[in-house]
Amino acid sequence: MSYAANDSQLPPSPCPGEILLTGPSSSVTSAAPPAPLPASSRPEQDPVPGEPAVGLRDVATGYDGVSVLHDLSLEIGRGEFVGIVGPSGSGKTTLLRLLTGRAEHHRGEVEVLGRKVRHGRAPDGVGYVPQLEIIDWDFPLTVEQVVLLGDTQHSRPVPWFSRAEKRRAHELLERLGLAGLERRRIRELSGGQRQRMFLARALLRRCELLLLDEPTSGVDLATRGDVLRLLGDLHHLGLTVVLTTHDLNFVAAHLPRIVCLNQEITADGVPAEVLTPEALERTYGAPMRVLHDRGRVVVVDDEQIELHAAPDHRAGRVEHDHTPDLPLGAEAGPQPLPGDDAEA
Amino acid sequence: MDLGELFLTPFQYAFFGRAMVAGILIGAMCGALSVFVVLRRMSYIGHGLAHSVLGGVAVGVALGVELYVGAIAATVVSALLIDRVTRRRGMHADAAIGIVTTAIFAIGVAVLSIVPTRINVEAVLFGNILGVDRTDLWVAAGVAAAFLVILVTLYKRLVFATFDPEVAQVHGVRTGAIELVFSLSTAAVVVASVRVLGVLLIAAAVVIPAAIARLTARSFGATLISATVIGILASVIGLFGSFHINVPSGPTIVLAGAVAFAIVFLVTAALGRRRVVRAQRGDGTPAGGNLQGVRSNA
Repeated sequence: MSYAANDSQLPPSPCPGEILLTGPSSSVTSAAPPAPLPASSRPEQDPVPGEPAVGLRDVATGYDGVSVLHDLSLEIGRGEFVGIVGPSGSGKTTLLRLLTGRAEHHRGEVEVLGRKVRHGRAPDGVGYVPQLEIIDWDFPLTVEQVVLLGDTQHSRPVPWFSRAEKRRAHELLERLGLAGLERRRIRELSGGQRQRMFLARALLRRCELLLLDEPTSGVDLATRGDVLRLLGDLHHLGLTVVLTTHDLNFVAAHLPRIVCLNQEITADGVPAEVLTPEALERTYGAPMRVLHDRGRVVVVDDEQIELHAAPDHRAGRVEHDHTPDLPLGAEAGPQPLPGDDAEA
Repeated sequence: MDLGELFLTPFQYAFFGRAMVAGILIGAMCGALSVFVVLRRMSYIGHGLAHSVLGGVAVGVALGVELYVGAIAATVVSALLIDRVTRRRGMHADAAIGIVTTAIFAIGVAVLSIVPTRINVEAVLFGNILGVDRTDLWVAAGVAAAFLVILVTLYKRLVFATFDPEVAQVHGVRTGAIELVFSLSTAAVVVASVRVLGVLLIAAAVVIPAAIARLTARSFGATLISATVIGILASVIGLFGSFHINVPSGPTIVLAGAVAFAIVFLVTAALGRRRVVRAQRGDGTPAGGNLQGVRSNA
């Protein structure tokens, strides 16, 4: 089967700017103006230009009567690169669900790309990259098949994909450094390759806003840097990127804007302003220390947890402290703490 | 027994020809459906919906209506209730299936105990090729045609919603509607299969083909085609077995599939061990595929 290029028939760029990535750590080489979309792949409603990418006004949401987010007002401009941080259960994923029409808000207004978001109806122009941990990696799909599924909404209702669709997927895979892996089973990919594959799937859909749920979770440091460089490239091409993460130092070092979340927005701004001990304690409910190292902000856990060295069980021996002999059975029970009432 | 006697003699009986046509259609449908059932980890759904058939058949016959009317009503009600209950946060599909379908099965058992009917309970439970009539054939053909249309037109959406429902929804796939279509399709396949497979053995027929296919196929399309072919072969072998050893068709079809699974499982395990040993000796492709050069792309 030939995929001979005919430029006049090439599908349009999936994003506002043509993506010209040459490899994992490539930089942008040029940005072509967006090609007009054919009617078949045009979103049902074109986003309103000039409107913010994300607009939340006094939003409250929750499940089964339990409030998860409240008094949420947030604006993210087009072309911004924003990291959402907060403890587990703070509502980070729920915020992404709100933006993608998968969570119902019972107060306020949610707008994405200038259009109101309604529950159960995904807004156009949004690409989504899920957590790697929730995926069944034994699912019998190849890399190419996963990427092609990204534009199912605009694909013909037949079990196969057209040459044009395949060519576009191959181009994206090549630009994301996955050329030659099209027919590989997804379980054979490394963590970084899996992230790239999902990015390709998100980009195959014409998207202006890219949402990523914990993209740095479960990947090694090299992969994390790799993913970040790639997101940086996409951001410089004009894509609005919003990601959630637990990795405070990652966002502090690389992202221009951080939103701290714990059921409400506790801080919002550039890392140097947002990552203060007060704001972090407000967000995480625990003291944290903020260090400044050569212009970079580094957050460290202020809690001192002393771990006792494990006893040496090698060769069946356990080395005990030299404690005075106790009466038989005395070491079995809990020892009284200083200040405890001796008679209690 | 020569080959002619083995394969041709059964076709001297009209009922066997009808059973074979129905069996092939049902085997193909159950095989294709099994891929989605297994990948969605909903193996229990075939079991549950088939059980609800008994309830529907019993109530229907007690009310004096056609057997299929009761069966369709029971499975459709079950599928809709399961769909409704699982949409509620915190309620998993297995719990919903367990509650809804077992309750309808219990109604059927109670009705059979109270109301005297002429239902051949053994045939409903285990299948009976003698009972396959023209109506059964038309039902199987109709359901197969509808299932094929759904599979072809919704293939990409079904695969996307099965693989990654969250992202499928964000990317414009109406996953709620897809779930409902899937549940109703499963209900229809179950109803069409009851005559040949029996209530108690449908569950295996919508699991075994995909379980075998997953051991060998690499892509989704290959898995789907393999499972469909395996479903057909299990039906054909099982129907011949049913005729010759005079055992209900449900058990023989399921046993044919189970034996095939055991053989493929053992062979693929042995091949996997051989690959590991060869890889450890350094004279072959590494176990799990040749990943050389992959890291450099990461």
